[in-house]
Amino acid sequence: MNNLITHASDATFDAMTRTDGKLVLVDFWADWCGPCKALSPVLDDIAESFPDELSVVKLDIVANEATAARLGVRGIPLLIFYRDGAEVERSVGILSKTRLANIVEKHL
Amino acid sequence: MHAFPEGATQKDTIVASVARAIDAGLFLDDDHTTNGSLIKCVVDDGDVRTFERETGIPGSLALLADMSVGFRTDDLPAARRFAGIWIATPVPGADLTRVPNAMILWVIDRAEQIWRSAFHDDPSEVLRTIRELHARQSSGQDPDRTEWSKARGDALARTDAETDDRRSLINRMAETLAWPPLTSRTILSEGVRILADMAGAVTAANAPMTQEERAGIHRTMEALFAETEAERDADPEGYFFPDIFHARMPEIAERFTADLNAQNAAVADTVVAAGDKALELMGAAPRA
Repeated sequence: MNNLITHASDATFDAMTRTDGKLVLVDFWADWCGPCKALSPVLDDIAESFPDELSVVKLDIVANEATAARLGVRGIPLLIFYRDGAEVERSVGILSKTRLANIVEKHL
Repeated sequence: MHAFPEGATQKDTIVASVARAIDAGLFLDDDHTTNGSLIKCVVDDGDVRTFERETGIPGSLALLADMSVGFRTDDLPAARRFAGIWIATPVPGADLTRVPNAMILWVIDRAEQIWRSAFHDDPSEVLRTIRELHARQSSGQDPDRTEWSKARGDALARTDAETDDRRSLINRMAETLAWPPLTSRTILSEGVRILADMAGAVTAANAPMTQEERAGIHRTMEALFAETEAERDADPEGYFFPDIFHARMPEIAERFTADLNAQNAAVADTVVAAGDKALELMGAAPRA
């Protein structure tokens, strides 16, 4: 398993998105979601390209329904960016690495 | 980056593990219940970075190989042979560092060729800039991070400003390829996917069916789908729209299917050709 990406749960989600200063990107996914699988290697690439500036976290919405419901997750893949626990941007659907990097750089 | 850096024994072990996975039906079995991931034949969890560390083969080439296998499944024995040949092609110690750059140059040149022949105008200027960056890196002169970043920014701005769908494809290719390939495992598979979309778009543009006719058929299909709502509700398991479409509108369905098949074939041929080209480049890589 890629050690640049961590997995959150209902129990750990808030703590994992409340990192001091570092931008956090959460990928809301599910095993049955084909586009989520297609996005996965792009997230690996992004995590590797911004190792010091960005934490990439994945949340399985089937296993963690409470968080998904609380955040109003309706379509996946959904990416939400957090800084100090506050949501700064969200995007639904597949993005190219360049588009994703552009969002990351905007919030650095 | 050198293939099988520990030598011939390491290569033999990895090639044998792929052969075992193929024989065991873990790679494209006859029932189509397993997928065709070469990466998973070598690394259980399919992590491309682990594959890269264990084989010395750039991850971008491995992801492209998996994509190419996915477009060869009409002939399963040939797809399995491709996988076996692919993993056995790099000689131990072959320097594969510049192969992804060479592959990107091939993708860009092919895109320009397709573009010029179909649309008779110059492709994007920004794509040419990105070609120059890869050509420099290919010759050992690595562009610095700011050059890549500026090229990416220019490409993004061009795509966002573009209103023509076809031209937007070539700008999307530019923004996708604007990375040093060893830091971006998805660069080749994404670049080839856009090249394939371009080949499909050109096939559609050159087909006997016009864009207006296609739009008309789509409207007809939507109307038929709405009309058959009662049948769908009565037997959701047995309802299969393509069969209904062919039964009730055979002439239109036939033409629509032929048009779609031609575009799909152009897409598949492009991805298969890219897989073959990568194989050729790996085989020709110099030993360190």
